Amino acid sequence: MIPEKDLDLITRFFDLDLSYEELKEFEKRILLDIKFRERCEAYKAANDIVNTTYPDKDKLVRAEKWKTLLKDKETTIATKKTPWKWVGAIAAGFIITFFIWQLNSTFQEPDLNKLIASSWNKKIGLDFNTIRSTKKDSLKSLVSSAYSTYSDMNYQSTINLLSDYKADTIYYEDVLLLRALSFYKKEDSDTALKTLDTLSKYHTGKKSKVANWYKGLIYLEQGDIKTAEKFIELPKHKTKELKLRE
Amino acid sequence: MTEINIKKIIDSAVNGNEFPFNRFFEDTFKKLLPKLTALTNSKDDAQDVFITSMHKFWERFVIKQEEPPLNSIAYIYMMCRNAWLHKKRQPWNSVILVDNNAYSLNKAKNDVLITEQEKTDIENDISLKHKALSIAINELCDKCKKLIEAELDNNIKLKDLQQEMGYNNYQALVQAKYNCKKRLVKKVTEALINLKKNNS
Repeated sequence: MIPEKDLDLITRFFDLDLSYEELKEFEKRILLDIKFRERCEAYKAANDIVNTTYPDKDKLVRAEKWKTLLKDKETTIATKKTPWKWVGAIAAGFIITFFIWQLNSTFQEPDLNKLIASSWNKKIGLDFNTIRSTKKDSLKSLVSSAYSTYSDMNYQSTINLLSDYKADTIYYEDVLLLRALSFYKKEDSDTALKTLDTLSKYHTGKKSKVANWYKGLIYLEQGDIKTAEKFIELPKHKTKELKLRE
Repeated sequence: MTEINIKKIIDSAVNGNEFPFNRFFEDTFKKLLPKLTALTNSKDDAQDVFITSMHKFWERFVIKQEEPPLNSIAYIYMMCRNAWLHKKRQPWNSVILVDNNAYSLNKAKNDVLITEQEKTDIENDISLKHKALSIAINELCDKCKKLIEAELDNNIKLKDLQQEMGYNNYQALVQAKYNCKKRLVKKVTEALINLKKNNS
């Protein structure tokens, strides 16, 4: 029988749970203590054969999903951003079909995950390429900086940069959008939704559709499909995309 | 990442909503990437050890529902260091010390061909592992055996087993399956050591 203390230590080693000091001690012991090393080898062999014979399907699915997430992140940074034209997209005249799904409906979770992830990756409304910072326009420069910090995932910086931006000033719609999305990324979905609400009702009407789009995405991510469908339309077929409700 | 935030993220995952966790995954990778690249000297290895560590993080805090660490990012980095050691250094395969003399266990790099004896040893080793697995699986209780073997049957969905086996919810079943597998690994380890002892 392996002493309980040794088994616990070996298990923690394979669970990646040793501190830096414990790791150093572990390595020393492996080198000096043959019996301990044999126990480690036996545990490793046991772990390998169990996981090979009885693979964890959930883990395999999750691994693929995570690899895709990291790959998508690289691709988004590497490729040139194309500004999304809402008018052009609506004018393209997608056929909008409507379907109400329960959470455990015919949509398999991986499909919904992919739909939502790809919808976020479109970065609709975040067309900061059209806002070029110029020395003459400090407000443009400020909003452009905020877009940059948002793209770099420094959400608190984005919020801080725009905290004193006055309402009814030029580019205020962009400010509201960036604030809302930054709050959401910082797990404050209540503030995010309230800000998107303000944007959707803002008197200029610019980015009101964008606000509704993100409200829909946020509710969908939170699992509130019923509310999400007030703003976006879930496609009937797996190969189609999420669309803004007109 | 505050303690409350990581708890919310983990609770969401426990309740079946993985989106906050996926975002946490992406954000954490971005934050740790410079350190991980410095550790591994390779972006691919950095990605590899990060994913390995996040699987373990998921097992401990989402499946087992242990209390999450105060500083989750620091903890994940520590796991990545562990994972990197596993991947590259494999201490028990490198050197042994006998009477203060170091003997390398690694074969010389130019010894590419394996001998007939080595082939036989490898086959015996595989056979021993399967025997140990067979002994260990029969020592498990019926419930554990069913949970583990269900994974092999494409006709069985784990979610359908939940009610049949008397679990309150799906997460309880996932946790039970995890614990059973851990138990199986320990039993296989013991069986393997005993078999090797008897063979020597």
